[in-house]
Amino acid sequence: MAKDIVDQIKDALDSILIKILVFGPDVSLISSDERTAKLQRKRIEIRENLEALGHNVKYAEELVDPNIDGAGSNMFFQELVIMKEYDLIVILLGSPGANSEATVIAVRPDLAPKAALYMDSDHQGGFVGEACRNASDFGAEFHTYNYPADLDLCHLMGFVKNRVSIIQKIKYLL
Amino acid sequence: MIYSSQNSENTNELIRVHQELLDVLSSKKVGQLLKDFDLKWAEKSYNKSSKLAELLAKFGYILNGKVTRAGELLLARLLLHIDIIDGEGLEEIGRKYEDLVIVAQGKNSIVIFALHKILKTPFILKIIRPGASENLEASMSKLNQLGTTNSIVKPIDIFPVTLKDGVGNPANVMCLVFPYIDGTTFDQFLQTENAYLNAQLVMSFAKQVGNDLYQLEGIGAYHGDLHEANIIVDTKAASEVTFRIIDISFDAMGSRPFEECRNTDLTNFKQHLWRLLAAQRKNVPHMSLRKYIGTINYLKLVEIFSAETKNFSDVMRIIQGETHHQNYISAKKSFVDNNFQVPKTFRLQRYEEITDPEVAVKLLVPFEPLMEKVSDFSNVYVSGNRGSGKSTYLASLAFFPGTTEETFDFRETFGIYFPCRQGEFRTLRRKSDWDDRYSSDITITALILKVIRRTLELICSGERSEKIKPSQNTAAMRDFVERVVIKGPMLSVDKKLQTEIENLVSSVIRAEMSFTQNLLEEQNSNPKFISTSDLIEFFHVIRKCYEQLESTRFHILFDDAGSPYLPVNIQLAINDLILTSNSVFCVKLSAEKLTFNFMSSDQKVLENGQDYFEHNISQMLSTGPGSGEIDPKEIEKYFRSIINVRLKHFEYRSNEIVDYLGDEIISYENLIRLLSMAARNAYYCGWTTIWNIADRTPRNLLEIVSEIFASANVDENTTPELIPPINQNRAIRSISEKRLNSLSQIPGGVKIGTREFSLGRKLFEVTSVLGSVLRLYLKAEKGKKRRLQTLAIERNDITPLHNDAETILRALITFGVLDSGKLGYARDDEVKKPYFVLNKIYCPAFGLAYRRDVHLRLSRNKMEMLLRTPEVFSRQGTRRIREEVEPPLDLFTRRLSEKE
Repeated sequence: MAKDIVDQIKDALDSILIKILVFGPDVSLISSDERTAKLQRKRIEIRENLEALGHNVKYAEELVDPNIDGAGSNMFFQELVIMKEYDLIVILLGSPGANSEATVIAVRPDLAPKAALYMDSDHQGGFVGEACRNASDFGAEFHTYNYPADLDLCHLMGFVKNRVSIIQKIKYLL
Repeated sequence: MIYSSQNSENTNELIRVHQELLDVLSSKKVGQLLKDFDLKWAEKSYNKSSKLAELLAKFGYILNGKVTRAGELLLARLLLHIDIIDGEGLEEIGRKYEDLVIVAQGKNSIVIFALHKILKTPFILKIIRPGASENLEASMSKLNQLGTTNSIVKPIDIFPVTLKDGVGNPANVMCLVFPYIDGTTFDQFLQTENAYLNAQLVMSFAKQVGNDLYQLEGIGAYHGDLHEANIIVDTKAASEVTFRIIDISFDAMGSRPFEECRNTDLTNFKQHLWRLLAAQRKNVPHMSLRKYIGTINYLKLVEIFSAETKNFSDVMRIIQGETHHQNYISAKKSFVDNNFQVPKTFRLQRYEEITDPEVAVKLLVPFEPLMEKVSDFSNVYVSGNRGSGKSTYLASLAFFPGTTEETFDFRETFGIYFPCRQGEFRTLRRKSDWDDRYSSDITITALILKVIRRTLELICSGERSEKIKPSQNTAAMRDFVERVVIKGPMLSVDKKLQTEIENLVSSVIRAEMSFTQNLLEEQNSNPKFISTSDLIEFFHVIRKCYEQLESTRFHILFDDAGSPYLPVNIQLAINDLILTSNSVFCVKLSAEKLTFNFMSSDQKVLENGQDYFEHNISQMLSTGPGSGEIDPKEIEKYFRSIINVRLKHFEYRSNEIVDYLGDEIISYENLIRLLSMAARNAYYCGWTTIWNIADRTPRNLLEIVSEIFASANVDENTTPELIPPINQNRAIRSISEKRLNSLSQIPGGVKIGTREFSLGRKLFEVTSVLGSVLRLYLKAEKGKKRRLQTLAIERNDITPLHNDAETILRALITFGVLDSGKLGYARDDEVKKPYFVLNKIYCPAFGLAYRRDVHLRLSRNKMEMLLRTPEVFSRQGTRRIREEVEPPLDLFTRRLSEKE
């Protein structure tokens, strides 16, 4: 039986697969600090969920090449190049690395328009919060979430999936 | 899996601007909205009062009441979907094709795999969405201008198809038919192990794909969707790996501007090049890409990657043109050729120092009786004093592709030369966590890989220099390399880029590098071992593939194979090769005395005369009492020819060294008389004195003659005349002093008792004390009718020495201070044992004559005293002789003996 036109459009949209970078706390060892551990698990969960949908999801730390010599050996510059290649940059703020990456995006008009920044609402008053608002002015999507509820109840996961879905529509229809 | 490649830099801005449209189009109401819109595709008419018409007009998809091309494409993306199960709307396709499978429903087209109903051959059908193309028929005609050599897969048919859209209205669309190309996608290829062993692959890709896209650019077209799944890699092609570009989307990219599509091709092309380099880099993480792919290719790629390269015309200009580096190389060569002459150095002392093998071959003067023994097809250990020419004999067997003259015909003797001193084997030193079996297997594999690589390199160079005729059938070699060395398929590229033998060399180099790298990084959890029987097979394969080599025998030559140049585990592996008794290869090595361990990895001690033959150059050239092997005149003639050949080669006015040095200016009897008196005019001069002082060592001889020439300003233009004895004497003593001083530079330490001493310093002290003592003995001969020179040490017992003393004695032998090559009956106990002769090169430094007449007879205690505490020996061990020569002085500076 033929599918309904709405389902056919949905299938077409779902077939658009995108490249996503997920920044956040390093996940090689789960931290004993509860907040960091929750963010680490969320980062892993985001990747697993989006990969299950067929998207190409990567952590930047697995893409940088420590063996490149010369000017290209700098991890910071390598990450800038890598970010340019991706459709969506998701940043879970709260770890030193992720905060730095958000700060970089805040001053890069070429990267900000494809970034989605997620910050604990309790932290938005600080320097990194200001940087995120600056990134938002350049076109970044800036969201705050309530800790721990939005992490525990998967609201943050929902935010990210929604963002991905909108990008699929843009890519298919426009 | 293909990910969207559309530029996504303004994603958030696009979302913000189109939020309303996106919300509506992805809502559940969209079905009803499209129904109300009621688009008639043929007339492009629609319900103008519908809500969707209002929305599309707001976003510019309807202008002046007409659906724009972008609007048509947007609606096609919403309305045109194919459901194979239902099959509705595919009747026209179904007339010719069957077994349809949807490959992708994309933004601009729907791709279907299908079998031709009659031919049963597979095809790819590409249905272009309305609005995706401006003028598809005209564009397809344009593609036909591409030549037949172009590897872009072009459509072979185009026909209209009527589909039913999502709300039941008919839509006329165009369907392109492409031949189906089976193979590995570029993406899959990049993930294949062993696919990147060919260093030229990236240039092959750049050349093939770049040229195809350049031709496309030339007819005013583009590909439009050059992602990694649209490049098919054929690695099974007979001649070379080929890249075919499929799914051309020229004029089917919707509203994207022409320039943007073409730029996307260039961007994708550059990214694919980079991916290929990155994949190759993974296999050699510690080697720069520049080194791996070569400077010329590297610089070309850097230029392609630069922002200055804006189109494929630029790409091909770079690939085909000369780089700045090539210009630099040719300008440099021209400058050097025009402004400099080849240096004419008389003193060619080490084989490795001779930069031109052609000259080396011309200057080689082998001692024929020795050369015959060394060149025999057998395992040989060439030993001898430092500078005696061990390397020269070994290297003369080597195959040098660039030389026109050869010492041996490579059709019979194919020498594979390894100058171990250069450190090639040091990285293979056994690690502490390797057990014996693993160490043995891994070391022999690494060694055999080097032999295979070096052999192929030599053959490759031989082909280039046209010395070796290229093989007409390399299949067996390829099979061997794939099966035994790289354990996987090998890739070939355009023969103009890389010949088959170059490819084999490149692949084996990569395999060797990878193997060695894994050794260093301890990644070899499951290494692929190669055995000695594989090596035998390899040489048989080479014989089979090359007509000129069909009856040759391979001599594997390890020069300076002793410690510290070769780690012990490599020495064991070489012994394993020696024990592989076979008719196709043998092993020859040179090493300093006592530095090579003749033991296999299975702890079998190799026997001289059984498993190998030792040929000691210094011993063969020995002229002292009891040598009795070769007439001294023959040896003198040999040494004279070494010098005379050089005089001739460097175009001296006379080719006879005696014309410059004279002979018997001071007879030996007169010289020893003068030396015993410590006379100031005891000059070392004349040919006989010089070749004797050189002590059977060509390097010493060349150095002395060279120094004499330099001190007397003799060059090729000088009229041959006798160089004054005083000048000769000064030069000879200078060389001798230099040799003595250089002993203290020998690195390493030696433990005596509980204290650590510098080995070099200790050797210097022992030599200095020994020389001084022998000088005392000579002075004691003063006034005698027949003066005798003491020049050797003889043990007057057979009790073993203390370990410390033994270590120093071995070092003195290893570093050529003492020669222990001869056995003799000791005067005191009449037992035959080795005696230790001072190298005659040290005689001038101590004022000694060069003939060994008598021996210094030492007991174990005295011998140990000399070796362990030379300063004590110089005081206590020589009291009697010192008192005889120089009686002690009393308070009034009169000799005590005179008082008595």
